[in-house]
Formats: sequence, structure tokens, C-alpha cells
Amino acid sequence: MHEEHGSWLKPIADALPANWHGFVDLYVLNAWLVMLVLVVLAWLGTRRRARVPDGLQNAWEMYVVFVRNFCVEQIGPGAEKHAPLLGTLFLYILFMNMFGLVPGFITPTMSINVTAALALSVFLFVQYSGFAEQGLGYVKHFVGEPIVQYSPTVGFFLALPLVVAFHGVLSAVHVVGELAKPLSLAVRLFGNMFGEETAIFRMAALGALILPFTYIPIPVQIINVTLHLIIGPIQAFIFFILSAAYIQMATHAEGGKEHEAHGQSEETPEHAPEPAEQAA
Amino acid sequence: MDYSSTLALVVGFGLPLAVAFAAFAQGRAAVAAMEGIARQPEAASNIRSALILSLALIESLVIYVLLAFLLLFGKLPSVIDYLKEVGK
Repeated sequence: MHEEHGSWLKPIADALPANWHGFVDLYVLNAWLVMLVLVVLAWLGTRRRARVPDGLQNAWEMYVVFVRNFCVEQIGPGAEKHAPLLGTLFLYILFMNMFGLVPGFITPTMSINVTAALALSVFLFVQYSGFAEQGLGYVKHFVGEPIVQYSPTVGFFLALPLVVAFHGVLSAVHVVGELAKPLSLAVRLFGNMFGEETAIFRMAALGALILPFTYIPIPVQIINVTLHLIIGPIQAFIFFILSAAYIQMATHAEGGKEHEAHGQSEETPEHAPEPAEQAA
Repeated sequence: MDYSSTLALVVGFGLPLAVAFAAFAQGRAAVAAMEGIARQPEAASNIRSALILSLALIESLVIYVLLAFLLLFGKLPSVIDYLKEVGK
């Protein structure tokens, strides 16, 4: 695309030194503006910490409670320490997706740089929390469960090279799968937002093109804008849910919900003989 | 068939094929969700959240194909360049 997207921040983006243009471009500037808006909103909401919240403080408290409950339900008990990152990600991506609809600004998540940065931060945090939760046992995630038990027989030592080769291939597959997760996060958000905004631009250009035939300008892009209003929050929520799911897979060897299933299956054999004894 | 016409065919057919399969899969998810809601109306909001999540995940596969389309679209030659190529 040869057109450049303008916004009110474009003069600032052009005024930056030339060798910054690969790092700090128009989309990054708009992302910083969204950060500023969020910081101002957070400061306004927590100025007077009333016991009975009201107004903006009430909205923030509702949001924090929602994020915490979701994290505990998804990741398991003790997940409050992951709630700040996930809650910030959700609200930040939500505001960024909706920012393009404000006249004069542009969606920062339209550029793969911004979405790749978000996905990279989630990836690093997932690996860090995996190591923090399980220490060096986190490497078992990549290598897989051992397929043979150690026994000092000749057969074991003959099979050892095959076992090592098997675990080697399996760990390569797991590493690639682990790298594919943040890649899919970045590409999903980028593709959705870029496609939506491109569709809005093209439909607006179409509306301008048919202007000689209809003397009043018809905003044909209103359909695409409505779709963007639905898809923006949904994609932010998907990013949030998937990040929570990746954290849950990395920190728990079996998972929060699966622990309940194992607990129930362990309890039922103990309960089963009791009614039989009572009946006998 | 030379390179340019094959590229044009692939670029043209890749995305509609992905969209067709994704529409089929999303239709199946929607049918299951509607049957679930009809069976248990009090679980409607849980089913609706699960439905939205599944639809967005299937849609993201189409978005990957859209990304490939956008990458390939720049490599298509214009009509004049292609006629010059064929003329040789």
C-alpha cells in the first residue's frame, strides 16, 4: 500500500530523527498515547479511595474483581499474581483496538510491531512463571514424560540411544509448539485489526468514489465500523483468555480444572465400598 | 502454465477455500451452541461465551490465510509487466 496513514501525531512522527524510524513510528506513538490515556484514567480513579466506591473508582474495582476471578478460575488457586499483567493487557489492547475509531488517531495494533511486542511480553512472562513455579522441573514440559524406567539390565542400555533420540525429537516438536503460541497471538491480533481497518479505509474510499453520482456523501463504511466495534473487544478478550490458558499450562503440571477431576476420581473408589458395607 | 498465472490462481483461490472450510466449521459450532441453549436455557450465557471463543479461534485460522494473501499480493505483476513478459 502506497498510502500513508495520517493522524494528528504524524507531525511528531516526522520530526523524529531519521534513524529512529525503524523503532518509533506512527503506530508506536499512538500506542504511547493510549498508555498515557490509561495512566490518566487510573490516576483519576484512585485519587480518593472511598470505602464505598463511586463513579470511576467503582468501574475500576468491578474490572479488577472480574480479572481476579477469571484468573483464579482459569489458572487455579494463587493466581492473583498473574492478574496485573493479564488485566493490563486486556484493557490496553481493548483501548488500542478502539482507538482507531476516534477521528484523527490510528489503531496501534494495526502494525505487526506492536502486536509482536505484546506477544513477546506474554511469552517471556509465561516462561518466567513456569521456571518460577516449578524450578528446573519446568524443562520436563519440553522433554516429555520418560518412557522407560531405569533398570540396570542389558536391554535398558541397548534401548538407551533410541530413547534419547525419541526424547530429542519430541523436545524439538514441543519447542516449536511453544514458539508457535506467541506467534499465533501476534498474527491473530494483527490480522484482525489490519484487515478491519483496511476494510474501513477501502469502504470510505468507495463512498468518496460514488460521490459524483449521489450528491450527498453516504458513509458506506458504517457497516465495517460496526463490525470493528464488535471484533475489537472480542479480539482483546481472546488475547486475554489465551494468555491465561498458556500461563495455566506452564505453571501447573496438570491444571486447575483437571486437579478437580483427579480428586473426584480418587475419592469415588473410597466412597463405593461404604454403601456396599451398609447394604450388607 | 507460467509462474505469473499460477501465482495469480493460487492467490485468488487460497482465501476463498479457507473461508469456505471455516464457514462450515463455524456453522457446526453454532448448531451445537443453539442445541445446547435450547436444551438448557439457564446455561445460555456460559454457552454463549464458549461459542464466541470458538468462533474467534476458527476465524483466526482464516486470518492466517489472509496474512499469506497480503504477503503474496505484492508479488503479483501488473498487467503491462505481464504482457511484456509474455511478449518475450
